Formats: sequence, structure tokens, C-alpha cells
Amino acid sequence: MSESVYNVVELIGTSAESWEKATANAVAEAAKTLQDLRVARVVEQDVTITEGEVALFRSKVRLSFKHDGEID
Amino acid sequence: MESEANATPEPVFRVVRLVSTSGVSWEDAARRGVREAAKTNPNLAGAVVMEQDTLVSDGKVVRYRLKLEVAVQIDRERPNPVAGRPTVQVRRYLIVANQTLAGELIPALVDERAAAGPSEFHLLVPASRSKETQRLMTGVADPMSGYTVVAPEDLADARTRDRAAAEERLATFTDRLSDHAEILTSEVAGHDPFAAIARVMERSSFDEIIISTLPGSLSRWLKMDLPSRVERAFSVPVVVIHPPGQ
Repeated sequence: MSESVYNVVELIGTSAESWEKATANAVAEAAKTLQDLRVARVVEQDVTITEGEVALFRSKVRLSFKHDGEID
Repeated sequence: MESEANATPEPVFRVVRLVSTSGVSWEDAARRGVREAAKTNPNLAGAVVMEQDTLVSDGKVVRYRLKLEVAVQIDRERPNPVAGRPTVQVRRYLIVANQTLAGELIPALVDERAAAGPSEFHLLVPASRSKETQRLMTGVADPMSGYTVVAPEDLADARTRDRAAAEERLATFTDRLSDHAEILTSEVAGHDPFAAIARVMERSSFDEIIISTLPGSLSRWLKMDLPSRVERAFSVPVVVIHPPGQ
């Protein structure tokens, strides 16, 4: 079967340490319910600020996974 | 519903773009950029990454660079100190001072302005260059070769000392004004007062700029015509104040 359909979801992960950790957190969370994740694309990064200092690094991650429409 | 005078401010923001770099990581660059923007804007909520890149030298990443966008509140509406009461309008003052920081001049001015109505102050201290720094910058001629020899580390050290001295003066000063801590922000900037003001005006806005300096010929700032240059460049009223009895 060469034709496939994919689902796309977006998640936002956060970390007090780095955007890498924020991304990993989002992927880890997604992996709990989704199978066969291949690539997670970081589409947006920002920070939240508390009292003039960076509080959290946030990564918005776009994940795609194969649409599971039929029983194989 | 006119009886419901708005008790919650409805802020207006200006989006400020920052470019910050770090030798360590993009995260470090983000922290530095945020700290810089927060100096004049204590209530920042967040910053968005617009672009990331690296500077490469000899095939290695030498700096991580980040372009950030920060929303800075520019209107003058603030919550009322008394909960539930209508919002208040503040006036924002930028005070530029260095040598005159120690006297009664600026505390008196802050007291007076704050008594006149809701106010916010930002104190900008351009770090002046010590004799040592000036000497190093002019360069020292080596008697044997005639070439000027200045170790870059020596100059960097001298600059660090200038900054530390200014930080210390500022700390002493803000301690004395602790009654106004809620409405006072401050920072030490580079040697050039005009450049320092321009940087602050990019990431904030003020209703009046107060330049505090020594009188007449003693003032390097007046010699460089700082007050009228600032007034022309930023279209904000400029007031010059001097210590009394000179």
C-alpha cells in the first residue's frame, strides 16, 4: 500500500530548563496515546515571563502519525 | 453602563523586536533578551521567538542568536491601588543621571513628581569612563617600537570596573529611594548618554526626560548638547536639573 493518510496534531510542551526539554515533554506526552510517531516538528517557540525573568520555555510541536482507518 | 467605571485596565502594547546573542545557548540568549526588556517594563508577560540562527567561525558555532518579539505596555492606564476603584493614569519619567546621583537633587524631584500624581520613574545611569579606561582607549605608545600596545583584556577589565562602580552608586541610591520601590526601575548603561537614552526609548515610552548634570562648563553632557539633541530626536519634553549652590 503506497498511499497513506496521516493525522496531524499540535501540542505545546513546557520546561523551565530549555526548549529541547519542552519539545521532549510534548513528544513524550503524545507517545503515551499515539503509536508510530516519526517526526515532531517545532513550529513555534516562546517563553513565559515572571517578574522580569524567563519562567518557562515553551515549544509548540506538530506531530504526524499514520491514520489508522482500517484493521491490518 | 456608565456606573461601571472600568476598574480593570485595558492595556495597549507596542511590539518590540530584540536580537540577543549568547556564547552558551539560545535559552541563555532568551534570558538575556528578556532581562534587558524587563528593565524598563516590569510587567512583561511573554516573548515569542521569531528567528534563530548561529554565528559560525572556523567551522564552529561561536554564538547563538535569537530574534524575539516582546509586547510592551505603552499606555498609561494602571489598576487603582484601591481595589474596585476606576483605573488611574500615570505619568512616566525618565531620569538620566550619573555624577549627580549622590545628592538630594533626584530624591527631591522624585518626591515632588510622585506627590503631584500617579507616576513611574526609570533611572538611567550611563557608566562614565575612568581615567584608566580613557588612557587605555587612547592607547599607550611603546617607547621601543612606537606602536600602541594595549592588551584587550586590560581594557575589558577597566570597563568592567567602570560598570561595577556605576552599579554600586545606583544601588546606594535605590536603597535611599526604597519608599518608591514600587514605581522606580533603574539600570546602568554604556558611557554614551545619547545612545543609552535611544535604547531605552526603543523599548519603552516616557512623558518627560529629566537630565541631571553638573552645571555649565563642568558638564560633559551639556558640552555635547545632550538636552536639545534628545528633545529633537524623541519629541519628549526635556528638563535639565543641577545640584544647588554651585
